[in-house]
Amino acid sequence: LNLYDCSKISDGASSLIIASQEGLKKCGIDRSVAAEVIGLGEAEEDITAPPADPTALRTSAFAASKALEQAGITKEQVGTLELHDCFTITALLALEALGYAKKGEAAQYILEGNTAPYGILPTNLSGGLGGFGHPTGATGVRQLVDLLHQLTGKAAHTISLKHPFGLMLSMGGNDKTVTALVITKG
Amino acid sequence: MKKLRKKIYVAAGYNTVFCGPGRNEFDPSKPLRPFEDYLQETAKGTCAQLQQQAIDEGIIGSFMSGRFLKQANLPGFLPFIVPELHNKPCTAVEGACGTGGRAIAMAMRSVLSDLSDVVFVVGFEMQNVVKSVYGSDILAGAAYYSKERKFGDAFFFPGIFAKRAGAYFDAYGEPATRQGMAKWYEQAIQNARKNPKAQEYQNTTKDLFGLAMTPPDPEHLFPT
Repeated sequence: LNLYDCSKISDGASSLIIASQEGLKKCGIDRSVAAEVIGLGEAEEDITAPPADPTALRTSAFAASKALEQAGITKEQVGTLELHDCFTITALLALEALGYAKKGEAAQYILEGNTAPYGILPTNLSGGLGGFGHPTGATGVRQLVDLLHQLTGKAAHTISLKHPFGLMLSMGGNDKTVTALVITKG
Repeated sequence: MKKLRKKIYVAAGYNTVFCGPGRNEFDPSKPLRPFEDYLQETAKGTCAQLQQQAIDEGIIGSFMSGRFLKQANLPGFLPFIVPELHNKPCTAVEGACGTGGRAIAMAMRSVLSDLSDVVFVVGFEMQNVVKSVYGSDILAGAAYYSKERKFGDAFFFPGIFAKRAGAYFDAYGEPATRQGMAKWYEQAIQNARKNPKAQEYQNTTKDLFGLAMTPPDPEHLFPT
């Protein structure tokens, strides 16, 4: 890797609320400025074991498939994606783990513009970990804040999504502690 | 898989500026902005979006504040930043770089189990309090430190993922993969330039793709 493949050290904080329908009402929040979380996938891998296949993120794949299954949507219905791209290679591996590119073809998928803002799968519109920054404990919350803002039109650069679903992948360590979430417009 | 047993919402999101090398205001020779400021700003940003402060519970996520800041017992900072949380359940969550995701999942569980209707979730980290090579050692705690650290690189996690990249290059070829990685970097910075709070918002490099194609130097992560 070179320096530009790595997210930088960073300071920062992010926050949000998670609420029931009743909770939104109690807080006086209109559903139009909220997003519904419809899929949660969590997966853990043994931290003492090296990855079975260093060219794959198996825990991420498992967590994302669980989240999509619970949400009842296919990966093709995802309108925007927030990936945990702590390193550029991680983004390639994640795109393959989620099934958007076949093994060994993620680079081509990116080079064809599929993950660009106006591609078929706008990804990391925030800038991701490489662009927005990666203060480790904040990152997963930041990812959901940015998906929320993208779906509710509050993002600094909101784009028109082809599908009203957002998927995020939050990864800890070397693909060990993974949480995937699917959200849709409230 | 079953659907969630009731509707769960996310709202009132807020991010502070993510600060560090690349931001014009970042100057490591001067005192850093205190972590309490970051926490207070983001809590204020979220709470300002609530018409009524009806928060039942708080969850705070941080990976290594115990080492970066020598600060533990993080739940105690939740009533400090959200007064509504005095005498309410507050919890800290840690899952390395996946801390934030797990903090959100924990909040969802609380709502799904009817223990709370509104959970405030905050994640934070302060990494610039130490030099990057020391920070890298701290972050190595996301791996199996006692077994992996002494065999790893000085910049531990870049080394871990460099090995993954090397295996990928061997399996699928380096030139095309390197171009894909460079394109990813270009896209990340271009998107960050549209987000004023992004660390790379002020990045003015013209040839991002060309820069990202810089051949890696196994001896120096940082260009000499």
